[in-house]
Amino acid sequence: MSNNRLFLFFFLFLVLSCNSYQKPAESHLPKNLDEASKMKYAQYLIQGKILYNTNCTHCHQNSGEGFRKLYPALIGSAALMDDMGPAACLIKYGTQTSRKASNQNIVMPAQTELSNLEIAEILTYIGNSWGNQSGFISVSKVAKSLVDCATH
Amino acid sequence: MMRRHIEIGCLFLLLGACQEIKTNFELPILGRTEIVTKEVNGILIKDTIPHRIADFSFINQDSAVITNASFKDKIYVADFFFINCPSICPEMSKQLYRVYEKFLENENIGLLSHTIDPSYDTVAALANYARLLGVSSPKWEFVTGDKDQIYDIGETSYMVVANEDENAPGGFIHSGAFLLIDKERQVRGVYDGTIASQVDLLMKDINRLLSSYEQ
Repeated sequence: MSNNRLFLFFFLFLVLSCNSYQKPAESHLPKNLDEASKMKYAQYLIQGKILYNTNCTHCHQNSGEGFRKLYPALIGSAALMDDMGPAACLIKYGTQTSRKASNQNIVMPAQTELSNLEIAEILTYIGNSWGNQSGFISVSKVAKSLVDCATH
Repeated sequence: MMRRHIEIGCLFLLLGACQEIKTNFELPILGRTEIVTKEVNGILIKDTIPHRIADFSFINQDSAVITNASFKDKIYVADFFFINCPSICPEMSKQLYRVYEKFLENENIGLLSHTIDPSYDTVAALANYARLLGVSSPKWEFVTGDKDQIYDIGETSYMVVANEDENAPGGFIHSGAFLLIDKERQVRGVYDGTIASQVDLLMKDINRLLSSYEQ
């Protein structure tokens, strides 16, 4: 009888300890936001994650770590965190390289089918996940960046 | 109490037996055998020839000629890819890199990646790819060559699909298979190079095949 009780206790202990274990949040949400912005932010993060998983993980991996020197990591990249504008252009138009220049990185394919909203969602997800904290990327910011890179 | 002991004993016996079956399992020889009729001492006899990888000659990332002789006395894993493949190749490279790392010190194992886009994937481009991946010949050969010869050996020897298709992502349709080839140039296994558990199995099978040569 006492054996059974001990077992039950152990079992409960295990179950409870599992529950109380919380995984660190993958995506980061700034604290001082009003309810409406928070909602929008969260929506972007969720949609961004879905889009990222379909369009980006083949190369950059679920973890954003990239792979070897073939596919660059999206974590802790100062250039990326500094300004997400060029990244919007990369997602939309890919890397433009000539066929002769083979001594470079692998070509990133263009994904022209992605809308400005979708790119903003992807960038918001990338910019606020895996420890990145670059804030909210708006559709208008993406639109402006795309105009900028199209003219250059 | 006694019965319980017997039950447990039986269980262990069963588990042990399963284990034994698994390790003694010999890998199949894949492909269609060819039946040929030939004359020996004036009598027509039928002989079966097992499927083997045909003769090939390609150029690797260091501009060296790679033929079947390059894999003499080696077990190797073959696949088909192209550098700017947006869909399955990144995962294939990642998975094959696991095999590379695991058997890095074993000289009996080689890897052979054929490009199916030789017009873009030149020797220089392949050298760059190998450099970015951080791998080198002769462990991992990236080869290019005559397009028809690559497609032909893919289809007839390795039994995988490789073709140009403008509707496919990146412009090529191809299989993500890894093929395990033994020292007799025979296909001993086909694995999905985009699934980690399949590549786990491939690495187990490589060890199994290796140990079959030690006996």
